[in-house]
Amino acid sequence: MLPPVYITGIGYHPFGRWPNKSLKELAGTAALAAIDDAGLNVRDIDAAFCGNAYGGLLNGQESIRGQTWLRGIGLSGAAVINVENACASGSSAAHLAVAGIASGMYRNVLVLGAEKMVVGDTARTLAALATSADIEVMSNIGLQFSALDAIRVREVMEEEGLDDSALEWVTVKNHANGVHNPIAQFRKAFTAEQVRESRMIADPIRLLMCGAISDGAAAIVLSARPGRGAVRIRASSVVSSPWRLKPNDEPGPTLASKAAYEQAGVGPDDIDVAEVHDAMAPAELIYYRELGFCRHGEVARMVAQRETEIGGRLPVNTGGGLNSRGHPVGATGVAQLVELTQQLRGDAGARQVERPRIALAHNSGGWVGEDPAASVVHILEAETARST
Amino acid sequence: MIKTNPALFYADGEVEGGPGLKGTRCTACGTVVLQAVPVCPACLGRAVAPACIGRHATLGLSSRVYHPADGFDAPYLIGQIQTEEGPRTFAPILAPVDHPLQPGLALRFVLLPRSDGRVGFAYEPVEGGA
Repeated sequence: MLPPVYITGIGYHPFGRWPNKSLKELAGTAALAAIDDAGLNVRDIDAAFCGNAYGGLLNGQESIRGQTWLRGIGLSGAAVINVENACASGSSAAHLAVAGIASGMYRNVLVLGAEKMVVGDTARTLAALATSADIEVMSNIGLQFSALDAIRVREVMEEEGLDDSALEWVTVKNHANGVHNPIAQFRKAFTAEQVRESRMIADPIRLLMCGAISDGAAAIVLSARPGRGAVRIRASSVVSSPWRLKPNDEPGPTLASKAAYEQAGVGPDDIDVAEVHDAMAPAELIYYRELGFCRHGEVARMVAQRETEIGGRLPVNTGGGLNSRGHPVGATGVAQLVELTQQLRGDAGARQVERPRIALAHNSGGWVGEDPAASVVHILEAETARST
Repeated sequence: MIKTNPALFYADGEVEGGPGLKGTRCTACGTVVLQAVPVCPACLGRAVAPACIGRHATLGLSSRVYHPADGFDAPYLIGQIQTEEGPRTFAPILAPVDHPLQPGLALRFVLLPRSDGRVGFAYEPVEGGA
């Protein structure tokens, strides 16, 4: 069992296009909000783990990013560790912070994810994203991440008997959730018809199914003692891309989630609300089975019964998912933990799930071999039952 | 000749039996994997040898892509390919964009001259193949 580690503070800078704000400003805003929410002073922070992927390629700050972000908000002398794991940089930073608290080395740790991808040159941003795969294998062959997800989505469609309407439904669901999320880049609902009529990007993925280039930051404070809502981290699991040499070898997200379930002493049926990595909204359907939310062959049933809508059996991506919230790469994994903390505290407003107790966050980063290069799963639990 | 992915494929004359993908064969357990690796991922043996693989393959799932990338004009085709030796990877599919791409389609490795003067690779359907 993981020693006590609690999320005691959350904060963010809204995701979107912020051409007049620096990465330092975005990160500082989120960090201060999280420290304030925890009721701490910045000097109470023993260490900070800072997730970012493209600060070098896109913003010119190749190293010591976290130190440049945090000096201006008064952090002085505390350990700052910079973490890069592509789209899973933020959750990987959280994993290290959990270890720092659980080991007894630190009392209060800041986890900060930030990214500034809007640099006035979309081609440069897309080129930076492409470096999150094994470039020896995947560069120069036309394999954009949208095409990669298109092929993966085709697989789940073929194996689960899904048609385009399932892809449209999950996209509409997540955009509807994002309407109520103040951090989200796109707070606008779309109809299935609008999704269906949007431009094809990589068959069967259409424009309104795709996460967008985004700026933003998210932060949490982890502590050894509970804060408001007593949101405890029960598991933190990171799995790198496995060699899949035999037909039944399991994918990285499955390995990560199984390790997390074992660590937390719970199973998929115990999860009340989840955030999963849907850079393309239909990718969510892949993870229903890879994270154990259903067995193989049951995805179509989950879609037909709308089990993952707010109010359903297992609400997924209540914050709008990456598709609606936006995907400032280094911030995404932390933003998922912010969303779930709000849910477990009962602070999620119009997107609140009814009395959730256990939550799961799944964040993927990059691509190597046949899987995400990093698959990260956290399981959270509200130890204090809410009265409402 | 400048190759687009020098760590991924052999051009003509670089290896007996080429061109094809670069692979590694374990001399102890026989496992074959993509690219040159110093350790067999199956048995962890270090007695491994380079191999030219993937001259023939079958198509897995694929996509028609409508946004240009890496010098490929849209629309273009890309897919999962399974080499006859076992390893799987992704590759551009050299076929008319309206070509029906069914899983199991027989493919062969081809070198692909690129507009920037480099040489890349692709897989093209084998006429009369499955």
